[in-house]
Amino acid sequence: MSLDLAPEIEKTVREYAAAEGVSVNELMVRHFPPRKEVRTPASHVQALLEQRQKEYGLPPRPDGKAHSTLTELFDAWEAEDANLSPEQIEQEVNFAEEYERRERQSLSI
Amino acid sequence: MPTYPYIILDAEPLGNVTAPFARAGVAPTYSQRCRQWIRDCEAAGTVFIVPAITYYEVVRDFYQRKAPAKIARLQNFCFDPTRFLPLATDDLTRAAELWGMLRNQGIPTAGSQSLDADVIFAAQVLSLNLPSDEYIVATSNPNHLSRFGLPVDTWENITP
Repeated sequence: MSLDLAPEIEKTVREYAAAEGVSVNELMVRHFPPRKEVRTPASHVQALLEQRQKEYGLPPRPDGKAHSTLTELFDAWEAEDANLSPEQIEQEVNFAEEYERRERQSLSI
Repeated sequence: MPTYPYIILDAEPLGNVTAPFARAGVAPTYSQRCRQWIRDCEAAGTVFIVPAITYYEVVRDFYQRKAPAKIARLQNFCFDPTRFLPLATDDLTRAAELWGMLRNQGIPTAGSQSLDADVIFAAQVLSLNLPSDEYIVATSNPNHLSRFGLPVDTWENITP
């Protein structure tokens, strides 16, 4: 690999290397250390999730999709729920209320 | 910008995602309001994380009550590459350390023979290594999780 430098730049780099008593390669390493990857919280969390899922597995979703936003997911459920009969709705509401009751009971233990 | 970039779901708000949808003209139930809150948070840019132990806590209840449709919805919600945090052996080691440390301080978090899902949950959350101002744990009872030093609040107090 080579760099296409203007002659005056190359001359300057060589002069700096000579002044510091090192090769041009060593000079470049000294002044341009490898850049560290900037890890934002978002990239850090996504990388962790990916690594964990690779190591320990991510089960397939029953709907066969790889990913969906919550809005997409909830819209699909809402469309399904639109077909429920009043009796089924009551059952569903009772199920949810029973879930809340059990959760609160378990927290009080 | 959302109030918190990340919200980690505890069992009660997670179980509420499968609640039926409110009908027009009918006041939404607690569960329905919770699911709407989740929707609003994501619309504001928040990312929800579901630790595997939370999934376990909810799905076991659905299995006991023989609710396959609920289980399918829960799995569709949880098993998403942007949300699911699998349980690692390191999490169990960290949970054990926490469990022992708190016991030695006289702060038992569950019965001695209990698996103590809360301490495993705390270890999973801590494994994310997030700054405390970047996330919050959404629960229905902050007291049982705040003892682990996690930022935690009821879902109703968390602004999308």
